[in-house]
Amino acid sequence: MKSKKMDSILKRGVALCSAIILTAGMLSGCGSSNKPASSTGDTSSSAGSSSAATTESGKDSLTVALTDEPDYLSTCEHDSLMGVQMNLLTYNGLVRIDMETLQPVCDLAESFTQDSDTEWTFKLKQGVLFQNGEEFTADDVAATIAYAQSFPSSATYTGAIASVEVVDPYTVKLVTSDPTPNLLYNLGYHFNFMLPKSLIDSGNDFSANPVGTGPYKLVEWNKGNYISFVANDDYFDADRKASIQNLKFSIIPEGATRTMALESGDVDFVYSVASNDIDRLTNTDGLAMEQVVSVENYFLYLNCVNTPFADENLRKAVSYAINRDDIVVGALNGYGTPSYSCVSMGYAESTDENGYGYDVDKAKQYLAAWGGDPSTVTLDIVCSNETKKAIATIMQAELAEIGINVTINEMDSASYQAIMTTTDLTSAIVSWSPSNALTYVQRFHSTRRDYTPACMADDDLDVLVEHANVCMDDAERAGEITNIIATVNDMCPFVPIYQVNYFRAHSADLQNVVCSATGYVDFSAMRWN
Amino acid sequence: MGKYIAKRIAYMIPVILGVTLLVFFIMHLAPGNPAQIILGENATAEQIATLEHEMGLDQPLLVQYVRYLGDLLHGDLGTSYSSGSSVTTEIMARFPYTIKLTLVAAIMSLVLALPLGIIAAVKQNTWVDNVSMIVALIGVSMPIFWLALMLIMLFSVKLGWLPVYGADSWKSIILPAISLGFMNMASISRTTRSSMVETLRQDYIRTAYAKGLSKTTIIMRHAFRNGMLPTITVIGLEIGQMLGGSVLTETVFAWPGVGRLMILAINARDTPLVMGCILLMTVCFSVVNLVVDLLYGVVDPRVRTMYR
Repeated sequence: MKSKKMDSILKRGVALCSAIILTAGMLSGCGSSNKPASSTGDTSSSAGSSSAATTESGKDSLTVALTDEPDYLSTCEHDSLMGVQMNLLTYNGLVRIDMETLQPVCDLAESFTQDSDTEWTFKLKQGVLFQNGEEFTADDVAATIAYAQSFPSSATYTGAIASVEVVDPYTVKLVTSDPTPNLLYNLGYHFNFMLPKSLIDSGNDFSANPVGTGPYKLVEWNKGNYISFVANDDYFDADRKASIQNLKFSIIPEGATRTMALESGDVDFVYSVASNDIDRLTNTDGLAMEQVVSVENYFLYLNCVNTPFADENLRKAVSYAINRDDIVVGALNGYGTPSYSCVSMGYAESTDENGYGYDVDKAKQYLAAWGGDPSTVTLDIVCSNETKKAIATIMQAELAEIGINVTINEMDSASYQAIMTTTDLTSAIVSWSPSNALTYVQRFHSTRRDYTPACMADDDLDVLVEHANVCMDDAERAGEITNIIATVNDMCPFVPIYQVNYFRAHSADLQNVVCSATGYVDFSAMRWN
Repeated sequence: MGKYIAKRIAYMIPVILGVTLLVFFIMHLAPGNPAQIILGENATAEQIATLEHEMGLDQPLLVQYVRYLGDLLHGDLGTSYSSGSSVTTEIMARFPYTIKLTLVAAIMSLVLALPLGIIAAVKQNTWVDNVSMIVALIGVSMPIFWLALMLIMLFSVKLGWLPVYGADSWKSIILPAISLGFMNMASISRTTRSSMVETLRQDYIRTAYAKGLSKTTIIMRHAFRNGMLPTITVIGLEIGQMLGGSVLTETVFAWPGVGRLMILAINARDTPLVMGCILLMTVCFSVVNLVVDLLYGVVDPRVRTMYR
């Protein structure tokens, strides 16, 4: 009797569980609702404190899904995209790089004059306050630059500055060791963002306590979880003052989770959309997608020192044999821009003159000009992530058509970084995205072999780069850079593959979203509709 | 008992030493120069050499290891290469999240697994047994990554009941705990069932029935208690594993636990941080094993005699 009763209870329990599981399965299998809570103004959602399901009118917070967490919030201890993105919130430089034009414009400097090829005078804005309440003056400029110069990794951006002279509290004179046309770009880079002298002197940890003049102030850094900021009410530039009061960056490493967080309204902005989800989010009501063709160029780096690829004809054969369109479609789901120039298109000086389209016949001609037996050549491609591996796999099939054997060598990023500082590799898939064309072409100088020993070196090219490097006439320098790019394309030191397209998705109610081709987003300019 | 515990704690020392030695040398065998990683690609060979000297990386490996142990004895786990922060700070910022997730997942899995295992054993070879074991089989074989995404899709995106990610509220822990606990629930319930089936066949159970004891008393007092030993072992292993961090669950739900921290540290060749995380895992496992061994004594009086 008792046993029968127990059986009956069990049967009912199992039936109830089955019903719940089936209903759940049906619900989760239904099509996308395409309506993120953030666009509906639904206040009934209980999906956590960060939910976007609040009324848009009067909304004063923005939650952003980041892929990676920055290691530092200070200015000089990193050179990472996420780190710089955070620095842009809390700091300013004498100049800033305009996110739309990529040109330097005055920021903390009121104006500047170029007194000679090596001397620059900057007039500073008056009444600017650091977030600790101190006024920004010329002493802070001198202290900041000296501080930045103490970090070896800042050398590219601070090395040219020979001295900083404080003329008066609001005037500072910079003297460079050589004519430095890139000085303004360098001053707009995060290493040269201004810090209060008093805090530098007191040994402040600028990562834990980032005090600058920026549009936002750090509220909390919950490591591995989120970083939150509040608008700086005392920000000096009324036109660029943040309109959204609270900013929260949540660290969400998984692409599918970021997408679903946006769909559910838990976040308002996805910094990096997983390529599989681009179509879905683009077609979702209430969301908007920003697509930017970046200046980040992916290329096949070839060892030009101690491998058969030291031969220009063999490099050109490889370049002609690779169909970039196939790579963009096959490895990037179509979301990339084929690249035919060694320097990204997008800078004023860019050109694809002497570039290499897909032409197997020409590839074979160059192979013949090289004169070797392609079956004796193995192109071992170092890949440090899945996308690079997919690219290499497509290259493997395409280069097989001209008889070149490709092997794929997967390694993690630390091993990859280590091998790139040696000549112990044949090739690797590499990317680079400097903020201006001159910085880009500087890498073609033979001195770069200190950092990437297997790169190409050419005396004639060195002369061209050295000249452009000190040319203070803007128009003349632009012409020289374009000429260098065409020359480099002709030498084919590496094989350009594609330029990255950045995809940022956000609530359609978020206005004035500015994403730069160098990868940054201007959060202080955003406002809610 | 006290002597036994002290002895077991003493046994942990060579285990910890062995693990640190192994990990330390493996990390140093892997390619990647920490000084280069810290200074970035613009650093010159001279700057790299200077930093290597400052960090003691130019010393023989054995010297570096002995120095590490010396610092460890003073409670200093070193400084993270990636963030410049103390390893203890980095780990302690995340370990509470790991403990929280482990506890909730463990409670969820135990609450379901034990009754499921017992019922399956009592109703052996009936449809109840089959259904319970199918659920367990699904739990064991279902990829945790997929389950996590499905849970998010249903409960967060479709129903809007729970947050997709994060660790900011009590609601945030429900989905990660379910996805982590489900797999453990499956293995615990399977172990409970097999062990109970074995126990229910013992002579003393038949005797208990002959004495006229109630079924509930026989199952719970005689069979379950005696069949618990293998289950306790599995529970201990599962909890130990969860305390070391659950990388997939933490990644999908953006849960800021130790597992994700360790993967990031390995990728960055952040040896001190990797060592710290592994050390934590080792201690967690050892402590959980000790607790499991002590529980054996609580459950089975015969084991207690070994403690003396």
